[in-house]
Amino acid sequence: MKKKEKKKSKKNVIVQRITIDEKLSEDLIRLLISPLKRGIKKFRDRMEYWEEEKEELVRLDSFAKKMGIPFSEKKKWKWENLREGQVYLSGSFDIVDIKKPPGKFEVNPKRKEFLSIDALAKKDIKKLYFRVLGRG
Amino acid sequence: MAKDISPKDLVIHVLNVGFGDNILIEFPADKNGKRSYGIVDCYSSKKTKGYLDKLILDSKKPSRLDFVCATHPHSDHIMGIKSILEDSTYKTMEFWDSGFRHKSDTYRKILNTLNTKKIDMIRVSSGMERYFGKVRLTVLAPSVVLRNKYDTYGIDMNNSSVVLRLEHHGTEVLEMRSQEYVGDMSLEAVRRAGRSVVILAGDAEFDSWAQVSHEYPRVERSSTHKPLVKKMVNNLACSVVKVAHHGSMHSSPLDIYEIMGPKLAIVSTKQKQSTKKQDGGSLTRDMFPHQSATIALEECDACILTTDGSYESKIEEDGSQKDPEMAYEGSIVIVIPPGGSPRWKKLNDKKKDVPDPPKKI
Repeated sequence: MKKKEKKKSKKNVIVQRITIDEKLSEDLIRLLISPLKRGIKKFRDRMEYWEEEKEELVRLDSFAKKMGIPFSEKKKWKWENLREGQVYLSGSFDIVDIKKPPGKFEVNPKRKEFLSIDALAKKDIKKLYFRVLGRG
Repeated sequence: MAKDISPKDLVIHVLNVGFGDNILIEFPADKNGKRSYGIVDCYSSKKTKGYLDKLILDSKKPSRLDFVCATHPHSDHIMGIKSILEDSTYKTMEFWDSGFRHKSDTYRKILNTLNTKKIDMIRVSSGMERYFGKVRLTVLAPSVVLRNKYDTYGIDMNNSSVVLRLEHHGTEVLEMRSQEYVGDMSLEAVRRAGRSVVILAGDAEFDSWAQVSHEYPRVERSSTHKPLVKKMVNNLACSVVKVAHHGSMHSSPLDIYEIMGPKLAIVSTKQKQSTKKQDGGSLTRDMFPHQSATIALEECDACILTTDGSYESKIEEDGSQKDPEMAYEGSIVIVIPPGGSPRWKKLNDKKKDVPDPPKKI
């Protein structure tokens, strides 16, 4: 019973932050994927919510599955439109607020969402970058 | 015949970490016999720390890292940097950055560590110079022209790469134009001029090299008194180049290699293949290094060494390997004596091994 529960929870509690790291060739892209830390229900695009990123190489035939793009949205998210530096949230969550960085989200096992959070991530990193640069 | 590595030598270690860059620079020892260090990209913190610990025997004090440079923020260049910055065994004086802000969590965590550890971040660009004893380090790229376009004109991350030129002088006074030679256009003359120079090219691609060749031109001068005698200044002449972008097809044009005239070209890589659909079929080819890059380097008569041994083990038409003695994977160590020509050695380590740094090369 315990084993079953463990398996179930691992399968359900998955929200991933995905960055397109590098387009290595026409048919090969390196993604950086960081899962949401265990046990978190409400989260933002802040580093404390995410596990360390892991590299994942994807090709045209596998990217939609690896990125968790819902079947109904496959036409919206095309391989040729993927660009370096794009950031996505993928998994079971609700959007609470995406107007201001770092956004607000809530885990919802009943939903399946795939969301571009480029604008949020861009503003956040710019702020941090100039804080560090200005300190020196 | 192998010689002892002298404390006066500049030593560059290109570690085999698979598909990624991980370079350690040992600057010549100071008056007290102590070397300082620089790191240019770090994919594997575990391998870097293990190797550094073997290099630096005096482990009681924090070891000084003059700088940690992230040539650009792709993960295969920065994955191990946060761990190096956080480790109190090493005292990092400066972090050098290309100015390209990646949105990955890995890059964000590096910035956060710089902030909490109070490490100075320098946004480097073409023209910056630093001196480490008799080693003059010049930043060749990114050009300010490119840097000003990061945000709006789609300059990609590879073209934001920091490209470093290290020259180990033989003289006490660092001459501003050490690459001057007279009346000879041969490859040998280029090599004599750049004999103590190493260029670490990050992942710079065409847009970046176009700016580098514009800002560091090969300039010829003719004297009015002796019109047949020409003087030439070539800041890109070098004896060793760490090939850009793992030797991809967009890494560097032949023209740049001809100006550099490298004796040794190092490709830090793990070979990958790609298939391109074309009319009536598909084309599958090796990407890192790509044939176009290795042919260009062969044209310049450069010795090509890859950290994965993929180029050296390629089978030629006659059935033999390209370079059977080097047809294995391993880190590559280069020694540049002051004002002298480079010597090098390929170690025999897998990507997760921590090899013993050589004492003789």
